[in-house]
This record gives sequence, C-alpha cells and structure tokens, in this order.
Amino acid sequence: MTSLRRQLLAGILGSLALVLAIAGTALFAHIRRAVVTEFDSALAARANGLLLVVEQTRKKVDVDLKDKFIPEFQPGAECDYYEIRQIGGPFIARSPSLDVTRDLPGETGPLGQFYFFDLPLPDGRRGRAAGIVFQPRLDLGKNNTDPPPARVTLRLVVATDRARLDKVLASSGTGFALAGIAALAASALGIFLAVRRALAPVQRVAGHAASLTERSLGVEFPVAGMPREIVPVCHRLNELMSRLGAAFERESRFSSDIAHELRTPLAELRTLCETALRWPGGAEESEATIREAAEITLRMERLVTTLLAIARSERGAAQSERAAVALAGLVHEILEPLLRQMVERLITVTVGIPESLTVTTDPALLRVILSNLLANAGQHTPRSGMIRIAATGGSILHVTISNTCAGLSEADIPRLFERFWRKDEARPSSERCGLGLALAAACAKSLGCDLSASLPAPDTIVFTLSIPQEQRAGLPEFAPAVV
Amino acid sequence: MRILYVEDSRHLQKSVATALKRAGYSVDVCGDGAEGLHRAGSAGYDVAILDIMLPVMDGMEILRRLRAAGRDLQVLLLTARDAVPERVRGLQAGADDYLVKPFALDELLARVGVLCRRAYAKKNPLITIGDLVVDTARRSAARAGTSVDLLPREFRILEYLAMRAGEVVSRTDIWNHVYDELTEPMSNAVDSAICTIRKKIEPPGSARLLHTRRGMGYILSE
Repeated sequence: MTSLRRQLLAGILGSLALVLAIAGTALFAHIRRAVVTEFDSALAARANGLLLVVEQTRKKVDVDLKDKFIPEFQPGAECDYYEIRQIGGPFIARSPSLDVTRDLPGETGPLGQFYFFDLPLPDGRRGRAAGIVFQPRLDLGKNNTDPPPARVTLRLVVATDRARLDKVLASSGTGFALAGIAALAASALGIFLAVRRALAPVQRVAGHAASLTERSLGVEFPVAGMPREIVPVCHRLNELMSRLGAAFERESRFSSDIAHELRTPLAELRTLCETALRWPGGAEESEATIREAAEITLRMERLVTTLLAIARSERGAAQSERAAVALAGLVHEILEPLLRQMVERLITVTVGIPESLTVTTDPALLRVILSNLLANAGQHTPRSGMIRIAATGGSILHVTISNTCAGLSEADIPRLFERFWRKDEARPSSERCGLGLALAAACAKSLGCDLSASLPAPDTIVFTLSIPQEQRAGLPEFAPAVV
Repeated sequence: MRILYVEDSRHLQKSVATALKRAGYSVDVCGDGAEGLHRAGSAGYDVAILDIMLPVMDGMEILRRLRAAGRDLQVLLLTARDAVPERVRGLQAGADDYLVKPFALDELLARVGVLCRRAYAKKNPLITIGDLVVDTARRSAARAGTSVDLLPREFRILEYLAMRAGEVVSRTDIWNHVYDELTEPMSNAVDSAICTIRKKIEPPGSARLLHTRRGMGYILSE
C-alpha cells in the first residue's frame, strides 16, 4: 500500500539530493577550474622566465641559463623539467633533470600563446605542462649592417609534478561530497519531522474514521486545531456522517417498526389458534375464529404489500403509464366512499379544482397518492372539522389538501412521511398501520412530483402535491365547489 | 384470581381474555392506557397484564404511576418490543415479568399462575390445609386423597381462600378478587357459593376447614 508520508519523503529527498548534486558539481567544477588556472599561471610564469634567456644570433640560438641557479630543474625526487626544441628540428636546451634519452611529449599551439596539458613525467609521476611556440628575440650584434637571418620557431615546454594540484582537487571534492551528504542527512531529518507534523491532522482524521462504527456515527470529526486545508474535508465528512447516521437510525427504526408491526398480528394469530385448539368450541365459534384469522392475515398481507409498493416506488420500479387524468373527477371518485363517514362526523369538505383541469401522468400512482392523502385527512380531521382540496396554477401545479388537525407540532412535520410513524404510537385501529403517507411520498417521487406538508396554523395541516409543468395538460381556473 | 388485561388490539383482547377465563381466572379487559390506569388503581386485581404501546397513555407510564401510588399488584408486560434494553427498562420500572409477542399461550398462562401465587407469597402450586390439597396449577382440589368436584367459580373462591389460608377473608374481598365486572352483583352470591363449597370439601365425618366469622367473613384453616 502506498504511503503518503513515504511518497512525500522520497519525492522531497530525491529532489533535494538532485539539487545538491547539481549545485555541488557546478561549484566544484568552478573551483577546480580556478585552482588549475592558478596552477597553470604559475607554470606559465616559470616558462616566461625561461623565454627571457633564449635569443637568436646570426649563427645559432643561444640559451643563457645558469642551471645551477634554478635548483628545481636539477635531478632529484621532486624535480621539474623543461625542454626547448626547434619546431621540426633538433632540441635547443633541456633541464639537467631531463634524461638525454627522453623527450618531453610535445604538443603545439598557436604562436606566442601558452597551452597546457597533462603528461606522464619521465620518472613516472603524473605531471602538468605549459607549452608555448615562440620566436626568440634576435641578437644581431652592434653596428652590423648585414641582413638579419631567418627567424627560427621554437617550442618551450615546462613540466612539473601535479600531485599538489591533485591533492587540492581531491580534498575539495571530498569536502564537497561530505558537506552534501551531511546537508542531505540534516535535511532528511528536518523534512521527516516537517512531513510528520504536516500529516498529523490527516492521521487524526484517518484515526477517527477508523474508530467509527454504526453506533458512533454521531461523533463528529474534530475541526478545532485542524489546518485550513483539512477543515473543509472535516466539514464534508461530518455532513456525510450526519446523513449516514440519520439513514442508519431511520433504517434501524424501520426494521424495529416492521418487526413490531408483524409481531402484533402474529401474536394475535397464534393466540387465536392456540386458544381455539385448546378449548375447541362449536361450529359457530370455529367459524368466527376462522373469520378472525382471515382478517388478521389480510391485515398482514396489506402491510407487506404496502411495504413492497413503497420499496418499488422508492427504487423507481413502478410501471409508469402516462395518460390524461381529469383531476376533479379523480378527487370526487376517491372521496365518494369516504364521504359518508365524514358527513356523519359533521366534517365540511370543499373541492376547489376546475372540472377542465387535467394532468398527464400515471393515473394509478396519482390515485394512490390522492387516496392516501384524502384517507389520512378523513381519519385525522376531528368532528366538525374541515377538509379542503384545491389546485393552484403557476409554472408548477400545486394540489393542496388541507384539513383541521389537533396535536401536531412543527417537529412532527419532517416525520410525517416516515414509515410507521404515528403521533400516537399505539394502534387506534387495525385499518391503519402508519404507511399511507410514506406510500404517497414514494409514489410522488416515482412520478417526479414533490409532496410536502406544512402547518400554517396550529390546527391546520396542508399537504401539497407539486406536479411539474410537463405533466399538466389543462390550465386551472380557481372555482371552488362544495361537495 | 382476578386479572386486568390492558391491550389495544381487539383480536388479542378477545383471544387472551378467553384463554384466561377458560383457565379459571376472572378477567377484565380495556383498550387504552388511561382506562387501564383507572381500573388497575381500584382494588381486587391480583395481576395486571399491560401492553406497552397503548393509546392515550403507554403501559410503562401506567406501571410507573401504579408503583408511585404504592399499588403492588403483580404486573406482566406483554409487548412486541423485544430488545434487551427495553426489557430491562420495563423490569426496572417495576414490572414483575416481561413477555414478548408473539408468545405461547401455555407460557402466558404459566407466568400468570406464577404471578398469582407470588401475590400471596406462595411458591408451591399445591396448597395444603389439613388434609385438603388445592392444586392451583391443575385447578383441582382433593380432600383426604379424594378428588373434590368443583365448578370453575367455586374453585376460584376456594383457591383465593387457600391463598389466604389462616386469614379472615371478607365477602367484599372474595367478590373483588373472584368475580369480574360483568357479573351481576347479588347480595348472597358469595354466601351461597361458600355454602356449596363447604358441602363439597367437608363431607360428613370430616373436620371443619371452612369457618365463618360472623360479621367479618370466612377463614380456611384446620
């Protein structure tokens, strides 16, 4: 597995080593050139001294040098060498240290300019030489009117041991290398500490993430003391954890609720059967037991079917068949079986949807949504209350169902569409299982509509089904009608 | 023994009440928490079976209020909530037992039987007074080894007297603990039942066990 710290360390140290190597090499080359130039200048100065004592007369080339006064050219362990030779001709002079059987290796250069080269000295040492091709000055004697002789061209080579030069260069090179390695090591330590410190917040975030379980999703990623770059990451993670925690809680509550919802009818069925088996009654009693068992089974079936419908709608798996639906007609059709009970409870029902208003949508899903919203309104509207169904236009068609309610608070609104949620946890009737609004919301989502609830007054709740424009076919005209 | 069953599912109300009655208990049923609290607060119930999720007031709240008011009747929580923390919460709130739905009917009856005995500090289902043996588990009685044939209500009275053997039990106590709310009150119902029981458990020549304390009630003792 790749390590961020290792990658950073390797990258930074590699780059630093490369920079140090290039800089060290360039600096060393510059110093080397300066040292060699200095060494060569000393050689050239000695050669210049020799040039002064060479002169051409009418008959020969004369070297007026008293060797004994220049001890370094005398034979010895650390002696130097010189040689003056005519270009393409015989040698003119050489140092006593130079064996007559050996010549200094010759190179030539432009006339009057020094050139330098390395060479093996006659005694085997490594040497460096300065050479110059020159024409000696003329000594024609006094009052001589004869024409001057042809100028000879000579080559002077002065060679010396380069051990001192090599030693200086080697110690400089070693010094540079050691300094480079030391700088790299010190940098590595500094970089390691800096990287560790810089990555510590990432480590803390990773440690926190590793310690998370489904039970500790509420524990937030720490933001205090985090670097500016990590803070947004922590905020996003905290938001994600919050959503995840809510989803976990919802799913956990749902699992618990579904278990509870099935446990009760199962208990009913089991107790009913065991009682009947233990104390069998007559034919009439047995028939009542079977009828009751069938009723319980139907309730369980309804529960499971509704849950499946919600799951399918949430997955968007519901079959979507589009057709034009007359909204007012559909509302009246759904209201019809509910009206008797509403009238008995003195509930006023108002429908404010124009007859001409149609929507192009899935008729079955729209019926499920409106049936559940209207059944919910019918069940929860108190005696002598009011239910109002209306449609208002605009870019989006809003179908609103408002009814009188009691005991709801703003805190209840977000939970209204949760599966199995009831304001009162108990089961007031076997017909209700707390899934109607959840099913309506899932179907609305499946249709691409929005279903929301609001509490404009403490005793009034409004459900709004917002149908997008592409599903509308007729323009609504506000024309309330009392049913 | 008289039992109060507070449950909002009408199917369970019917089945469990039938089973308890057939098992020899007097049973009263109600469907919401407020009514359940009101009834449990009245005298006469030996055991209350409470659902937790109830309309108006939940079973835990009923339990808490009963205990706060000093009512020490035996309480069995019968609920679909099966998580351990919920059981612990129920028992810590003062419940004597906890049973999760769905349940086996035999187990419910056995637990109710245990709670009834516990209400009178009896661990053994067999209660012996002289040579009379009352078997609260099998719902039978025998005198000197001979089985006594009792009607269900007669057995319930004998069982109640046996549970309180050695104590004077008033007619009101017998009425409250043995007769359910649907029984029409009759001034001599208890006296006539006692008379019948006496004839059955005290055959000629046997020692008297069921004594009358004039103006006070009855006592079952040697």
